[in-house]
Amino acid sequence: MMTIGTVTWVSLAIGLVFGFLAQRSRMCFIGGWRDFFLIRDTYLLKGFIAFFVAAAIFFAGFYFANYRVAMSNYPWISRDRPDVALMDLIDMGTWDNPFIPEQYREWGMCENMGPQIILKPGEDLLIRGITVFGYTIPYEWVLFLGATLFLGLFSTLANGCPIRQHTMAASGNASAMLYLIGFYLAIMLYDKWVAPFLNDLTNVFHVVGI
Amino acid sequence: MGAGFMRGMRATRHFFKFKFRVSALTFGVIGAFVAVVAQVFFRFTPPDAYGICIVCHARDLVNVVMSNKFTWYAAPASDMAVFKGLVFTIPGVLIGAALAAILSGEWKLRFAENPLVSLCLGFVVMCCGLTISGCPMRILLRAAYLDEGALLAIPFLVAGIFLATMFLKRRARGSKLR
Repeated sequence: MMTIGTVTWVSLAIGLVFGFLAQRSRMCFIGGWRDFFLIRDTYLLKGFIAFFVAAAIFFAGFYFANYRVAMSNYPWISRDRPDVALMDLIDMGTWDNPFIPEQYREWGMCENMGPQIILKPGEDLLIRGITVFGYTIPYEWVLFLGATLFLGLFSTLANGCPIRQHTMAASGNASAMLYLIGFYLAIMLYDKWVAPFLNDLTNVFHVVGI
Repeated sequence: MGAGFMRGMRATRHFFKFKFRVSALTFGVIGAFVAVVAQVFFRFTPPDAYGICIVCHARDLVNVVMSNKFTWYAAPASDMAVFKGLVFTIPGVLIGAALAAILSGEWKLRFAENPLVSLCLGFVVMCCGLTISGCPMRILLRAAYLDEGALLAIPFLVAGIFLATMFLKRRARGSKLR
């Protein structure tokens, strides 16, 4: 369904704005912290914080101004829907392959209270994850937080976050162009090589930690 | 040739070089506004907080184009709800940055780092990004959208940057040039 619609033109415009601003300001989200840790320079860090704070303010502003049509899930923390609260805690928004298999969850209905998650006896042990001092950290959390850590690590080694690499490649940096080649190769090869590997890692049922 | 002549020369050179500087703070505010407006007004929304993300938009662009052209292509890990549309953010970023670089005279073909290392790092960074369906920018956007997972992940991101910075510092200190 490759239809060129509003989304295409809008996203092109957004990209043009971002590319132009990123090149003129040499903005990098990773570089903000790297510069701060190395030489205590806060120029890029201010951009990092400004992005976060401004986005939070704008999202909240549009939400309270009732432009909520396209903000179905805001705030992401679903406190008023207890049936999905547990799933919200566990589902961190990795790819759509929940590591808690469907057969381990049973949804019960109670007339007064609404849907609840009912665990069968002993089912708490079946949450697949790493157990540390009796607490189970679901594999999805481990993957999400671990991947974020490695994202920060390898992006720093590569001298930039993805948008900085795109900006550098557009400014003539040939190493960044090769970075982009690796970038797009990974999209093609992720499903064949990496996702099954991560799935196999997490199929070690109930790794017991400390 | 006096001071006036030199000033005239510099002014002319300045006229032909577009030296419009933007501060990172400005980028943050304008970028956040654009990303939020994209979701709220232009409905970039079955994945929430999707207005701007290099990793996700690249993945979805490649998915849509390759799925339409090649039947053998199996779409890789997608977000919780697939975004149905052809997103052209990446070409926009490249064109915008190239335009800015060429107009300001900062375009220069060069090899800054080891090319093989850059290739491998690009692969690894994209794999990490596909696992979390995001890049640092989208982690920030999701945190602004009050996703508790992303809010929890920001310290991990910073920890990763800290570790790599310490590694680079130690490697630099070990060299003979101090």
